[in-house]
Amino acid sequence: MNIKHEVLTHEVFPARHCSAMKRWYQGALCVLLLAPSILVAQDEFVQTHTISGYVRDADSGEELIGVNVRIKDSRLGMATNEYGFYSLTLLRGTWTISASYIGYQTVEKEIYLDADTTLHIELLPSVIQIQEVVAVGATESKNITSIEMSVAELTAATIRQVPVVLGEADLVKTLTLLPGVSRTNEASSGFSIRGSGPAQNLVLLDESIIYNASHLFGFFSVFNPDAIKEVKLYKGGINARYGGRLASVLDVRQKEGNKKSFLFKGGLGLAASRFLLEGPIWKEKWSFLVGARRSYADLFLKLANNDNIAYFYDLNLKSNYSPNERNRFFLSGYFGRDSFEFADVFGNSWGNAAFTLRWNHLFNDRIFSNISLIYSTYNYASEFYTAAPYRWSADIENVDLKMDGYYYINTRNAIDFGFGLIHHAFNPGTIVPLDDSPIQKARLDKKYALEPYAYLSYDQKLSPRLEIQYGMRLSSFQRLGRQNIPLYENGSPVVYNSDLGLYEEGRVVGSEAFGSWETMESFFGLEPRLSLKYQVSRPASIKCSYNRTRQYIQFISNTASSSPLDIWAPSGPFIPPQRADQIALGYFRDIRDGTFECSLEGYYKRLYDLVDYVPGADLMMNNHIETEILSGDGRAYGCELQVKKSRGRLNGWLSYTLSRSEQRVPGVSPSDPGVNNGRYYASVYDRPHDFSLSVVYRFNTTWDMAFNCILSSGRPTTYPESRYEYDGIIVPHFEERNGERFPYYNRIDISFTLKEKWGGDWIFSLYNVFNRKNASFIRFQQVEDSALETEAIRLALFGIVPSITYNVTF
Amino acid sequence: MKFISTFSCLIVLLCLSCTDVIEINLDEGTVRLVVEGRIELIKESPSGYQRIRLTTTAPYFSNEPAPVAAGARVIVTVSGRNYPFTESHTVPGLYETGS
Repeated sequence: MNIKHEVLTHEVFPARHCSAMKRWYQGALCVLLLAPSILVAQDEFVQTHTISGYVRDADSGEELIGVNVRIKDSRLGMATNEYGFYSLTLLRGTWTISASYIGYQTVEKEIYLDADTTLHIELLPSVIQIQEVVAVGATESKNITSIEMSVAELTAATIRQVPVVLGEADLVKTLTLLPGVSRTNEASSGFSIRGSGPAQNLVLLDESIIYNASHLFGFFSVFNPDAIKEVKLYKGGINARYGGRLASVLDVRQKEGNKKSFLFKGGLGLAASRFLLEGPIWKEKWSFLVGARRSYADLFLKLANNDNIAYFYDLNLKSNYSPNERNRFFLSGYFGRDSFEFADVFGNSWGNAAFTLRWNHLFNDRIFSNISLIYSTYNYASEFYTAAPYRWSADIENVDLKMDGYYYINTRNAIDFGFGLIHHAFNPGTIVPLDDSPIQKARLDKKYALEPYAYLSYDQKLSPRLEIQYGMRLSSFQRLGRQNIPLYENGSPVVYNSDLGLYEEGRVVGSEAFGSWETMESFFGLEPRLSLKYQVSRPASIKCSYNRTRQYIQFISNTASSSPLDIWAPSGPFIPPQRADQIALGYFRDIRDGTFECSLEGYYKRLYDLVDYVPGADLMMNNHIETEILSGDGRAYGCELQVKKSRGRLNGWLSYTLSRSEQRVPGVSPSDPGVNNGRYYASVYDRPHDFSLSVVYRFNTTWDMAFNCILSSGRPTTYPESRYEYDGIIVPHFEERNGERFPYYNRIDISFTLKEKWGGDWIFSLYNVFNRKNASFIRFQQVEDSALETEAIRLALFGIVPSITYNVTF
Repeated sequence: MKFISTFSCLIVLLCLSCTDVIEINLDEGTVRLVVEGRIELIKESPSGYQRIRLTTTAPYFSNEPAPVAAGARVIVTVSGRNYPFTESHTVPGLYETGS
């Protein structure tokens, strides 16, 4: 019977459009936005009805994101959107709808469709599968059916089963095990995507921008795994909905709060403890979630009579109210803070705060909209307890108002559209004297900007095999006053002094004053996005994508790690926005009915107008950062292989990436050397080889074992080429930037989980089993008390780290 | 309590045991001349004793005194006037002027 429907959908639909030629023509029309109305008119003519609704977790009532909702035995279907909504417009008749999602039992429902229908689907979390079950006639996996490529989706369950340092599940650490994602440094929660820097990743927590995703120098990331619902990482093929950063999007969605019953989760670890409470305020209509974490390494240090202090805490809040089926309101908040004090010498603190208010509205069964008001801020400060103690602080703040729309025209056509406006405020640095310090109070100029944007993306299934998604994002950036900016001789803020072989500040010949809200400089750009999928056979697809991205906020740092002292600067009169173009091609294949999901992707990226500091740059408390930076460009290319298994006793994935990431900084005029004489050189994020294996084996219902193995190239670094003596001191001389590489990185972790019947579990883990000393930093120095000897000191942050964590849920 | 203090020791140990001296093979860079000197003009004796030390760069782990650059011709030009420096007989690589 279902076969008949397939015939219907595959043949009757295209027949209405006569020929392939006409379909292409129609595609062209769609760009002009005429097609939607035509298509709708046609649908009405042939009696179609819409089935729509939310897909939810049966236990908690949480909406589930990215559930593969498909019409059985056909190639029709879609994934639920970021709010768990789906909408399928089908011909009148009997259809079997299946909804499948990792970690849940697949649900199938047969319905007779003769009117627009609302169908909410509830999925039950799957019980631990001991026997390998191969679902007969299972629907095709998202690996094959989705048009998205270069995308990784993780659920909280996946993150929790990967062993990490000190036994605390961590999102960013788990991400770095995926192909194309690498650690910037062991202690850093910054991550690099396809050879780009951490500041080129758009990190969103419930749509708010998170500027620094690390806690405790990167031992942890800011995401509390208990509060996470779903994580999606776009390494390429970025939907037009996202913009503002060059390389990737990490979209983290927090849980909405259990709508059916109260749930408490707690965890006691060696490094940090956490709790999470969620439940209904008004059953099925209004729920809340409160989560908190606190580390206590500082307490240990105190016990050991150590004056150093290092701790973090964070707080997650969420409330979700649905007065009726058409409207839903969400309020979510995140607040986190880190503090570090080094024995009366130096103190450091930083934190993110983010609030999002969202309103989901269903105009009808096919038009879904979301309006968000977002506020996020990041501030960081250092205190120096020297003879003249002072406090240095900086912050970034933004407010974003946006609207996103989803129009599901029918099973073959869908439109995403939206627009928004961000207001940015940067406080690049303030110095305040502490105690009776002779230091003068100082403040760098505040910088303001507006970033309006709009996008439109069209998804079209041209045939059961061929799907195309094309979109355009318009982005703009206006740097606003109030600020006085210097005018440099010949318009160049950096000049090369060929006598000394040094870059110097340009000569200031005047200044220009801008009033409040006066536009100093404005930029405008188009960002085309395109994705194509061709399903070669039932278990195999070929996909390709192109995207252009623009970034208006620059990050300047002269260390490879994502240190808490980051310098963020908006594009403006002297700093153009960064641009990137990326193309990717991939082959996706399911083996043994989706037991193994394999993908092989190749990509090539070009990056323009990147910023790099001049040799010997002074970036701190510099009001004219433009005098310390040079602009360059970059290229990155590589291929990524992943084999993933998500069924049976053995779960996990294997990934291997072969890639290069290079940049070129030519200098300000043809005669000066720039960096490395203007040649391409390896960027600090270059990792030619990166292999990781992460698997979990379920012995029985009580014992699990997880295993990680990571082997990757060391990061490029600059070693001294020679040395010289000056006034009896041995000075290292550096020549070529990033000319050398750290020793390779290798680590094996093992953890065991014991699940108790009453909801508690014990996690015993060993991080870096072979106690390999992977270098985080290598420092070159003169041997103490020696006039002639020099040495290289390696700082390896984690040797073998055993840990025990206890988690409880009730 | 004993539990906590045991682990505090563990964490402190972890933090302390993380640096060590390692062997790194560095490529030998191009040898460059290093000029070390300060010209001081003292008002009372404008032609006072001045010295400049010339050495060269050496491999970073050479662990020997900087190689001297002997037998050089050193002239300092100030406002078009040349001041020749002569190499010391006792200390090679040290170039002197005046007395």
